[in-house]
Order: sequence, then structure tokens, then C-alpha cells
Amino acid sequence: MEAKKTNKKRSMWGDVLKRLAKNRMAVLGGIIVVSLILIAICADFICDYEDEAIFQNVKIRLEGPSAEHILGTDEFGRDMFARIVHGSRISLLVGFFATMLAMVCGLILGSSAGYFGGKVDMIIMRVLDVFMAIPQLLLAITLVAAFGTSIGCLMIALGVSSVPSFSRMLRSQVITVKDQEFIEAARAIGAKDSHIITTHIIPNSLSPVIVQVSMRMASCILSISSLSFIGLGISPPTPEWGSMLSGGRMYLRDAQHITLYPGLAIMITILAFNLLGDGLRDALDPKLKR
Amino acid sequence: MENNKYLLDMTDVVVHYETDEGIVEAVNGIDIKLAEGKTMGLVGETGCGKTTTALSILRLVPDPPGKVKSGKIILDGVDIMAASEKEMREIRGNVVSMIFQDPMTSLNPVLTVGDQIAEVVAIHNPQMKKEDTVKRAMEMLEVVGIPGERHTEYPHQFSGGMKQRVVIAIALACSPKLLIADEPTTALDVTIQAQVLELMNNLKQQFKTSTIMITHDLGIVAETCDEVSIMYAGSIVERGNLEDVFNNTMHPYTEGLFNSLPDVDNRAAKLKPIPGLMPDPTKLPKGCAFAPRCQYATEQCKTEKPALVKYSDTHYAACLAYQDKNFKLKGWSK
Amino acid sequence: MALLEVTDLRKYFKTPKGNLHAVDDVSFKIEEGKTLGVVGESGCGKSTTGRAVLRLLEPTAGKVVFDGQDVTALDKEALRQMRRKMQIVFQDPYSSINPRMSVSEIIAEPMKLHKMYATKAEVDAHTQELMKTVGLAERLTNSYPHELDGGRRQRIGIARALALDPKFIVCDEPVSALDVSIQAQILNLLQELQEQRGLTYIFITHDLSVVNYFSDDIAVMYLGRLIEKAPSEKLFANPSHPYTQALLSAIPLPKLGNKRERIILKGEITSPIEPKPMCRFAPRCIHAKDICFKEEPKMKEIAPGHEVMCHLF
Repeated sequence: MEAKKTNKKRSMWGDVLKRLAKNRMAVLGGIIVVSLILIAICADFICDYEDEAIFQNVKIRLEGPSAEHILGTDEFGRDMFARIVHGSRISLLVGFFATMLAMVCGLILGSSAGYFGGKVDMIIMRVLDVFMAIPQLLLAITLVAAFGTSIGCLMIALGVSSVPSFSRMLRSQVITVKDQEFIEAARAIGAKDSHIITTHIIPNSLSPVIVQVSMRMASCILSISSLSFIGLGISPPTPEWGSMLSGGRMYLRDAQHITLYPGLAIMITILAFNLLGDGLRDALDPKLKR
Repeated sequence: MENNKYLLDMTDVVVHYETDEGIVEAVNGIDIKLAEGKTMGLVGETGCGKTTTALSILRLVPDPPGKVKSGKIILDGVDIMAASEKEMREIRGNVVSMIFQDPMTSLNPVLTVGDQIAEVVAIHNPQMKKEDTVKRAMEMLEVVGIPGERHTEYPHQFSGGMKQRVVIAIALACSPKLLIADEPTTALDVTIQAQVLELMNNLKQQFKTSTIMITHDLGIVAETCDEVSIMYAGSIVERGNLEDVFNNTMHPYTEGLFNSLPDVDNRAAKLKPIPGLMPDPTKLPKGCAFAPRCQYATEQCKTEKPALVKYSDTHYAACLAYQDKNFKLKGWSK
Repeated sequence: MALLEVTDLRKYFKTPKGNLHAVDDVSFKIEEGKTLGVVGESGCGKSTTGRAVLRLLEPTAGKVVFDGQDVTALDKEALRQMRRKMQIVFQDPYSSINPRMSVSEIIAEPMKLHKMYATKAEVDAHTQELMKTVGLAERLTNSYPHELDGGRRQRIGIARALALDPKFIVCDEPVSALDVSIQAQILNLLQELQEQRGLTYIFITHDLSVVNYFSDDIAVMYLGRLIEKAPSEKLFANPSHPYTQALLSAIPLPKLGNKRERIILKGEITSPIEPKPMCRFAPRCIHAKDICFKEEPKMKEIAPGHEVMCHLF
């Protein structure tokens, strides 16, 4: 028992991190995710945006990997490496904000539906059911088609289409937590509903949300690429993995590298987020403790 | 052969759980000898190693993290530690079976109770025809006081007490020689507990089954057992027949347990709880595990582990205080 | 005047099959500084009674007068204020405290909610004092519940209830999840607190030996009805309702010899959904007569302070 000898503050999250550190695949996923974030942040220091990722030089188009262009060049003679590095920004940025938007909306809708139950629950859940009935990508396509293809629109479109799954998960979690005695205890000491939701229910419902965030990041990034691939996402010349893939498909026979590398980037990113999510799920599950 | 004297003969069994937080010394050198037809109560508090002891008899200690480190378990003449997994499957259910605490979770909710009893019968009697196993299942239900026709019903159609009866029926379906009951009535109400205990007492006489009754309730021991072993922190601290342990209590922990129980007949009697908590099983004290909570503890108790010493033909206790011939417990008021 | 007076308290739950009569016309009084033990088996409505008195569950009907105020008539804010005087200790020390909060946060929460003290230092000082009162070592201040055992967690629950300095505490099976030796520690703690602070308790339990030790008066419940009520000595010396007799005889005594005559009840508790107008215990009662199946008995006083709801009297 740790408590016996120490007075230090050691929260549950400390334990979770410790368990996570023991899961090799999760650590691998985590390392990749952190590196990706670092790459996205430092993209301008790694290679210049205007000169290398945007500037077209037809003389060197479709060149294979070389010392100067380590991943080769694309159909307009732009450096593949620079474009992939800068492409990570868009993917992570849109993925992050779309997921956050979905999480916040899901948190509010799901916890109110779960906590108040009855009519509130009925109305929120039926509306979300309607959203659930439309495939995520289709919903995003509709929204983008209606409001244009700006980055902001893309975030909102992907975010909104992820709200139902967050809300559902949170609702069921809240219903479980709500039945526990410490919620009743909080009412017994005279706590208001808002206090109970924010200090007691949400902190105890968060673990699956964190897992979901990681998994959703992956699927949002995939959706951005898919949208860009079909020309509804980020428009050229802005470097984006999906549109790079789309642009490269004409040259599949002569220059495989221009589809291979963006494809790999998408795959590795999604794999990393999923590995991390899986690891988090195991680490957060109290049943697997010990 | 000495072994023939006892149905179950456990000698110096040690079980450890190797976890990330350290080695949990769950069972530290336990001796249990149980004669045929007898009922032994195994009493102790949460985490004292009662259930682990029981699981080691069935060789079901979860591994990892559990490891039976040493010791010898002879059940009905078979060396459990040396038996193959196939032999063990024969033994479980046929020679020894176990009743768990929670009747709600020990039944499979998607099978009828009849099928669940018949399944056990079929596993151990592969030559038996389907109709016969079902017939046997109905018989068993009648034995535990449930109308046989109810064999087509599902567990959720039974109440808690009824479910525990079904669990007992499953355990007894192959007429085992040893029944291990792990807190069989803890989840039940008092009046239902009385029914189940009465049923178990009757069945014991009818089937001549030896029983190990794991419980924390000394009242249940007094009602159902012939002998009793008191466990503390993975060791047996006192063992004897009921008379020995209840009326000539020797170990300070046993005394503490009695002092912690409210007396129904005497409202004025103050409770005298044992101070402190059970030691952390990953960091057991060097000497007697009970010494830090014991009012009689001396310096010697802190450094030396007491062995289980025989004081009469039936009565054993593990306490260093009795090295002083004149030592007596302060006693518990009745 | 009694500190708490409950009259015809009723709590029904709606179910698809009809109303579940969890608590049906229960009435009792408790004098200040006394303990009323409420005993019964699972599903008899004892916990629901405790929660309805505190209005943690809204009573369907009935009146609860506490300290001269009608609790059932209070609005939300007045009820919140009332919570300072009436508290509850829960059964399960594992689910009744928030696992994400530290020991001191849990104990300080009620004081912060009611803004009892102006400064954080004062709250901290009182938290420390409460921890000392309930026997929690100071080094546990920043520990989290999962690092502690059941007994210590239950002490946290008691400290949280005491934080508002209440007059009255509902103890809902506070020791039934604990080991025997720890159980005795907590019972003694609750008793000391009652002596020091003049607390009034409703002590809900299924364990008759505990309730006898702890209470001045005992109320026995069966299927939502309060069927017998008497001072503890009287109830144990002269249990009158057949159910009380069976319940008493069913306790396994940790003693040899002097065995009581045991009454083994047949069957199990019947459904509390839309019960018929008859004695609810009749189907399991060994003394049941025709009238028991036709008419619900009324509460009768058979000796001073000793009331029974049974056609035999």
C-alpha cells in the first residue's frame, strides 16, 4: 500500500500511465503520435513551405528518391518529403479540431441525456439517431458540398458527424456512474446538478472518452484524406496526403513513389492512433488491474 | 499408509501471487487434514487466503500470477500436485466440487438449470444417455428442494436462495466426496440463509460428503461444522473442534474475533475490536503476522514466526505466548 | 418533542406491471440523541425509507417532520440547506466515494458546497480535525480511495457526513460490507460520535445482532410495511410478530450449546408489486389464519411502546 509510506499525490492517471508504459505496441503508437505532432509543429524548420512544397519545377518532375529529394518529386516537380511533412499539419489539425468539437458536443449532449434521462434523453438520442443513420463520410460530403471546402468547414463537417458516437458512449457511461452511491452522497451533502455533473460524473466517465478520442482521430484523418481524394477536401496546391494520393494515381505505372509515400503516411498515422487507443483501453480498464 | 486416514491431507502448502506490486504471500504453509464425513470451517477475514487455499485443492489457482510454491496435497489418495491435467478434470466435480459465494454469477444465464446440472453429469459419465442425465438433473433438483419440473427454467426465473440451491445441486450431481463451500450464504438474507444451511446439513448426512465451509461468520461455523481452522494472513493460527476453539480459545486473534461480535443476549457488552488492519500480504511482518495488532505481543513475537503447536489431541494453536506455561488469554465475555 | 417524526410515509415505484410498494404507510418517531434500528431483509424497503426521509427519493405520500420543519414541503434551496442537518452514511464503501477525488477533497467538499468557512485554511484545518475524529491518519490526506481498504473508506464516508455538523444521520448498512474486526471498529466509532455530538441515528441493517447492540428502539420491516416496533430489550425478550420471531431465530449464534428453537420459514419474499389487501407475511406465516389472507392487519399496541401489525393480537 503506497499510502502507508508516502504523502505524495498519486492519482489514478499515474497508474494508468504506468500500465500504458508496459504495453509495447501502445508505446510504439505513442512514440509515432508524438513524433507526428512534433513534425507538424516544426514543419517550417524541416523544409521550407513555399520553396519546396509549393514551388513547381517541371524539370525535375516524377524523379525517384535521390540525395537531394529523399522521397523523390511529384508530377509538378515538388519535393515529396516536404509535401508529406507539411501535409501532416493539415491532417492533424483538422483531425484534432474535428475530434475536439465532437468530444465537447458529445460530452454535453451525452451527459445531459444520461443524467437527466426521461424526455431530455429521448429528444437528444432520437435526433442523434437520425444522424447515425447517415454514413459519416456521406454526412461530411453533404456538409462540405453545402458550405464549401474550407478547412473550417471540413473540421465542422467531420466533427458533427462524430458527435453521435461520442454522445452514445458517454450517455451509457453516465448512466452507469449515475447509479453509484457517491452520486447520491453528493446529493445528500446538498450539491447542485451542475456540480454533480462536472465534478463527479464527467471525471468518472472520461476513460472511454479518451480511448474514443484516439480512435476518432484516426478515423477523422482517414476521412480528410478520403474527402481530399475525391476532391471535396483540401484543394491543391495545399499539400494534403489524400489529394497527393489522388494526384499520383495517374502516374501509378511510371512513378509509384508518389502514391506510395502519402499512402504510407496515412497508414502509419492511423495505425499509431489505433495502437495508442487500444493500449489506453487496456490501461484504463480497472478489471485488468493487477 | 498414513494418508488413508484422511480424505484430504494438505501439508505445508505455500501459494504466492507474483504481481507487479510485489509477491503476495497468500498462503504460507498450511496443513489441513479432513477425515471422511466431517465438516471443517475455514474462518478468516477478507484477504486471509481462505479462497486461495480452496482453489489450490482443485488446482485452480489462477496462474499467472498465482504459483503453488511448495507443499503436498493428497485428496482421496491422489497426489494433486503430481496429477495430470486430464486426471484433474476427472477429480474436479467427481471427487471434489466447489460452491461459490455469488449464486447470481456462478450460473450461466443462457442455459436452463436442468441443462447445467445435466452437463456436469454428462461430462463425468460420457456413456450416459441424454435422457438419463436429464433425469438425474431432475432428481438433483428434488434433492435440493426444487420441483423437478422446473428444470426447463432459466436462472433468472429463480430467486437468490433458489439459485444457490441449484448451485448446490450442480456441485452434488456427481456425488463428490469433498464439497468446498466458499461463503455459500453470504449473499443471502438471514431467513433464506437459514433454509440453505439446513439443506446443506441434511444433504451432508444424506450423502456423507466431507465439507470445507469457508466463511467469516463464526455463527455459521457453530451451526454446521465439526471442526474449525482460523486463518490469519495466510496461516492457520488455531485449529480444533468446536469445543476447543469456542470454549477454550487459545489464539489472541480468535479471541479478538469473538470480542468483535455483538452478543445478541447481552446488549450491555461492549465491543472490543482488534485494533489496526490486516498486514499487507506483500509485506508480511518478519515474526508473527498478528503481532502488530496483538495485545499480548512481546519482543519475541516481532522476530520469530510461531509454529502450529499441538496442545491436545485435537487442539492446535500458533502463538509464542504459550511458551510461558502460565499464560492465559483475558478471555471473552459470553 | 421528537426530533424526527415520520407519518404514513409511502414510496411507490412505477413499473410496467404496476406500482411497486417499496414503503407503505410507515410511521415512527425518534427522540433526539436516540437510535432507531430498522431491520429487514433485502427488498423490505428499509433503505428506501431512509432515503425517503432525507428526500433523496421523493416520497409518494406522507409527512416527515424534522426539528419542527416539514421536510416534504421544502423547496429545492431550503432542502439544500436542510441537508446540513440531515446526513447519510452508505453501505458500500467502494461505490459511495468518488474514486477520482483525494481523501481531503472528499471530506472538504460538503464544507465548500455550503461555504461554511471563508478561507481555504479554515476548511483544511477542519478537514484535518474530521480525519482525526474518525481515526484517519494525517498522512492519508492526499491518498486516493483505491489505495485504502474498506474500513478506512467507510471512515471517509463518516467524516464526509460529519463535515456539515449534522444532528441526524441515516446509517444505511454502514458495516455490512466490512470484515468482522473492522465492523466492530466502525460500530464503536459511530457510538462514540453519538455520545460526543449527541447525534440521532436511523440505523438500517439486516444484521439483528448488530441492531440490538446499537439501537434504543427497533423497527422490523417486511415488504414495505413496518410490522413490529419496540424498545430493543422488549423486542428481543418478547418478539411478537411471527416474522420477527423467525428472523431472530435465524441468526446463527457464535456459541455452542444453548441452541434456540429454530423457525425455518417456508418460501421466499413475495412480490411487492400491487400487493393484495391481506397480511403481506401470511403466505410464509406458520400461524396464518383465514382472516390473514382477507384483511390487512392494523398496528396495535400490545405493551407500552411495543406495537405489532398482526391479526394474532
